[in-house]
Amino acid sequence: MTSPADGRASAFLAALETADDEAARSLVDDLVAEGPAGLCLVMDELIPTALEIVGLRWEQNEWTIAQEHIATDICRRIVISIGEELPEPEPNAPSALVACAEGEWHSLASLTVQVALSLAGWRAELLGPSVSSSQLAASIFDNGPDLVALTCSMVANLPGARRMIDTAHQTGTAVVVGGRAFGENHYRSRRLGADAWVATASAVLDIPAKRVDIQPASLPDPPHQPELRLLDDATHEIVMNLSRHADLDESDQEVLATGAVWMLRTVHAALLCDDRDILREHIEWQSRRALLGSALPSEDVVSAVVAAMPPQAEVATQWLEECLAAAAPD
Amino acid sequence: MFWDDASHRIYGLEPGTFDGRFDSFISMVHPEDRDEVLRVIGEVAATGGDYSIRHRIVIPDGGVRWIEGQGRITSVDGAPEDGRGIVYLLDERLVFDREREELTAGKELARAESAATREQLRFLIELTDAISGSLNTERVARHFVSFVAEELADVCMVDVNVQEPFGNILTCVGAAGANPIVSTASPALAPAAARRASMPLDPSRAVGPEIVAMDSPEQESVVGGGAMYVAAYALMAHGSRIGTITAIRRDRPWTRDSRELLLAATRRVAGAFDRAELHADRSKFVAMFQAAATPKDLPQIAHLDIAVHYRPATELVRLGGDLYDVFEVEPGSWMIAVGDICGKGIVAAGHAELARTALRSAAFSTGDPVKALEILNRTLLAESSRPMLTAVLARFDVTDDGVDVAIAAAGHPPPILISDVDEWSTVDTRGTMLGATPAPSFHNSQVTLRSGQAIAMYTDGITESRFGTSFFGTERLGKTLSSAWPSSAAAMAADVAATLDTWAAGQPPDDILLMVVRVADK
Repeated sequence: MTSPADGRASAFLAALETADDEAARSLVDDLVAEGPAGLCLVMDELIPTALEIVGLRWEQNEWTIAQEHIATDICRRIVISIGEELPEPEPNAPSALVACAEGEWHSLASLTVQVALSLAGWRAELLGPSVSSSQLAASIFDNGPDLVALTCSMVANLPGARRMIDTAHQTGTAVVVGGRAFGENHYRSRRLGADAWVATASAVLDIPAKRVDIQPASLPDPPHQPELRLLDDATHEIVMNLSRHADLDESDQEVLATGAVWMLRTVHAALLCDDRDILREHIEWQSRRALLGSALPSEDVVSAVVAAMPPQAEVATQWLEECLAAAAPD
Repeated sequence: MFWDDASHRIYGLEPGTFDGRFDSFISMVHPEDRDEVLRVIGEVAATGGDYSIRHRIVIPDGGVRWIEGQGRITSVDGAPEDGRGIVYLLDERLVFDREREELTAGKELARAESAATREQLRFLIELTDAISGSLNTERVARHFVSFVAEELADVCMVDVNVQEPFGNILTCVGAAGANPIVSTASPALAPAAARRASMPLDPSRAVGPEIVAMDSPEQESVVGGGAMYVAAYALMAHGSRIGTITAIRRDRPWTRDSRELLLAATRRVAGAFDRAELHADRSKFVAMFQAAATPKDLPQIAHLDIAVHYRPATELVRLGGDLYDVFEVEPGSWMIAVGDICGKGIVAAGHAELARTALRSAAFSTGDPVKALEILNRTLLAESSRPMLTAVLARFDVTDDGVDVAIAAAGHPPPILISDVDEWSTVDTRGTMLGATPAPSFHNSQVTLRSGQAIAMYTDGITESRFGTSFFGTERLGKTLSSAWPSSAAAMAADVAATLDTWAAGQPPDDILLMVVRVADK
């Protein structure tokens, strides 16, 4: 966080912790009063950073899930009220649909992007959390937008994001993407076929209206296409086998199977993007959740998945083993 | 036949040795050219007239020479009377060069024609790609005019009848290198667009300048000055006229090929417009039924925190008839209903609307959930289309101690009571499906909710979602809801939705409906 807001960042977090929405609101109002830069600071720094810390505190069991829900809800209402104060878009304004990637339930990022687009004069419609590609297609047909803005914060949802990008392209609509799952540069978004990537919500202000060039409807095959096909075919069987794991009781079998679903989806994402960091990011996240007791230790899940992998899935197996070796204590 | 000395030399004969017989002449013509020479001479001899023919001859030493004969034959009553002509010896090199030129020209023509054909094919393929992906009329129009204005003309305009907003004409104008401009107006407000959309067309004749008069100065500037060549075609779909395509070239007339290409493009975009309008029809129907069966805005109720997670299937074959309702029957007493029509598709969606209206009036007329279900059952049995549904109906009375809930169900999955963190149970409800039998049985269950406690009603889209080897199930639903304690109703519903998604990735979703009613903290 940049220096002028440092004090406010901790004050904001304190307001969220005590569920003091008035205090949180007035901190934001002060920043917004400072002009566009202040507003960008709220959207790009203050709220995302605070929520990241809130998430960590929940994962480390310092906050209850109810506290996390309340903090998210306060932030949501703040962003909504910022959006409500913006003027109506011009009649011939460019239009955008804002959606969370399929499986993505952290919808605050997409809400923020909607407000940022409105700020830039777009007519931005929010589709809400976890949008499937068939729902996206239906909304594109109903609204006929110039642009689809897609947010994704969990790497396991990147395959869903790719399906949505393909769907939008089939309708001739350009896609801009953003969110933590896309990493810190263009690399992953290009691999997934997106037409543009933004580092922060307010960066959508720099998108020239209607001037995002659409990439060809059909992407070249990703580098690990044969292995991706292999895994697609094998996923169901791997998960089913793990869900009947002989050494575990019924409830742990289910936890393992669920962990494996996420892990395999992440493997898919990593192969699609040709980026093994995706696996590392997911395993770190999984490890934090394991501390909460809401998931198995990530090494257990990775080991179980590696053991169940078809032998031809060489790249995936190698990457998972590397992650396991890196995570092992010295 | 009489030949002079020069002619004799050309044929390799000593002067004066030719016997003058036609047969002798023909015998000297190269065997491969003989038929052609006979044909030409025969034709001219029959009618009289000029001839000119280039052919080979075989001279006495066996050599081959190219000659050209020209002349005139007069004939009387179909019989030749007199003929005069001259013969030239052609330089072999010249002949060779000419032949090569002709051959090369033919090849180039063929190459140009095949390049043009490939180019036309590319145009149509790219155009089809650009317009076939969308089912949105405005988007199709934008893609089409941009494409034609870049590839075939300088300006392209579409005027097409649209149903939304009803009975209007959508006009879209595109120029090379510019964003298309779209406007929608009724024929009364945009008479020029209306005229264009229905104007009589003669494809062989350029349309007059009044056709390109635009509706606004902004659009007029797109056209600009210069000699304009206009081509216009009618948009036809299922036998009706739905609009007009007008394309303008500046300073370059339309060729036959470019007109044909524009016509082919027009036929394709007419189909795309037709599909988009059919899709809009379908969406409108579904949206209308859904809005009536599943109200977006629920009333704000003191002491009750209500959240609905409703996500209808987007594919028509999967669309179910889920419905819910929240309404006040008496001051301080609220009825909340969740139901599910048997069947899928647009008929189910229509029945959901009917069932919700009937359920509401039944509840108003009695105020008692069991009696309301009995009335609803009779209403449905009287319907000729025989709608059947499962439902749960609950009456909430806010008291000083909490909230009293009276619940009756009809063949519906049991509501879940969330009483504390990780503590939940199903409410015992038995009852007959609605619309199935004239003698149903319904029972009243009574529950009292304290602050923070909640009741969840849902359709089987939730419990029958695939989850690993089995279904999501009531057990997992109860666990997920109660682990979010003491969160808001919205947070509980969102947790369930997120958990459902774990296994649903990439699958087309079925209808999902979950309603959580929680007693707000005082």
